[in-house]
Amino acid sequence: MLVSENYSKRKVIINSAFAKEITRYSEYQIHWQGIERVQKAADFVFLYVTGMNAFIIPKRAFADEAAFERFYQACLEYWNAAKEREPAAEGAA
Amino acid sequence: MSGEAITIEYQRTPDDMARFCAKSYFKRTGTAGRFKNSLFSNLRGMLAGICILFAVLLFVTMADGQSVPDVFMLTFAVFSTPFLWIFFGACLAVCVLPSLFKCESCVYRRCRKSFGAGENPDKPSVFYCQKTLTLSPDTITEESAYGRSDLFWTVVSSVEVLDGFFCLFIGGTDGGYIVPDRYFASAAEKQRVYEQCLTWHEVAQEKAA
Repeated sequence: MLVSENYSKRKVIINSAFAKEITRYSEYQIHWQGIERVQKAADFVFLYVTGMNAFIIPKRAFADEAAFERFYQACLEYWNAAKEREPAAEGAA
Repeated sequence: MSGEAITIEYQRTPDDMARFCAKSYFKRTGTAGRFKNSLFSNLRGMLAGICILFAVLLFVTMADGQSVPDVFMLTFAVFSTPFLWIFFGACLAVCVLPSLFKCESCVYRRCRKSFGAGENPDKPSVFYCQKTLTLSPDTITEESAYGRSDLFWTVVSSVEVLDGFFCLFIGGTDGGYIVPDRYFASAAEKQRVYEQCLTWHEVAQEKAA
């Protein structure tokens, strides 16, 4: 029996270093440098890993509009900070 | 489950992905399938065209002061003309027949454009960066400079070997772990990995059932 992961329950954790998505059968962790872009639509926040692949976080997962907005702002902040750090990291490498 | 963990270090390129798409497309859709797909998509297009044509005819003739029944008569007259059906058949042949002769390199060229778009070879994105894939009896782990993914074999939809690639598909055949052949020491090594993965996958599916 194949377990479909697309519509299963998932948990998304974000911190200053990475975004992580956990389902019953998988874990996917990506540093903010690996996120292509962060976007917000009316009812969703999208963390694009590639043009075809994204973490999609629906508004209904949040207690209210303010919590949804806070989450989006935190994502933007972490992502922008990672983008600023990126050239320095490349130079060091 | 038994069997030692397998580690593969690999880095895909847009070229690999385009070749993979072309191979996969030709493997999954036979000549009949490609003909059917092309026929239906072109028929849909033609139907839409006829509807628009009918709406334009309706508008023009009504604007000309003629009544609605006249428009239907006119449409009926147009569609009863054998030339129209010949034209219709010719259009369909021109649109559908080339699909039978669509070659792998045509599909490759088309895919190559989309996979290479926006890609910087000096700084590969998440999709094209160097990765380490570790296959163990219970899990599949992939690590790169950008992050890490761990998943159980249960979510793997199929383990396949395509000409030039070793594939672990997740949720259908659109996504998954695609490893080009050059990262295997030999064809025998690729076959060994394939057979081992097949065993782990089958055991996981049985457990899930």
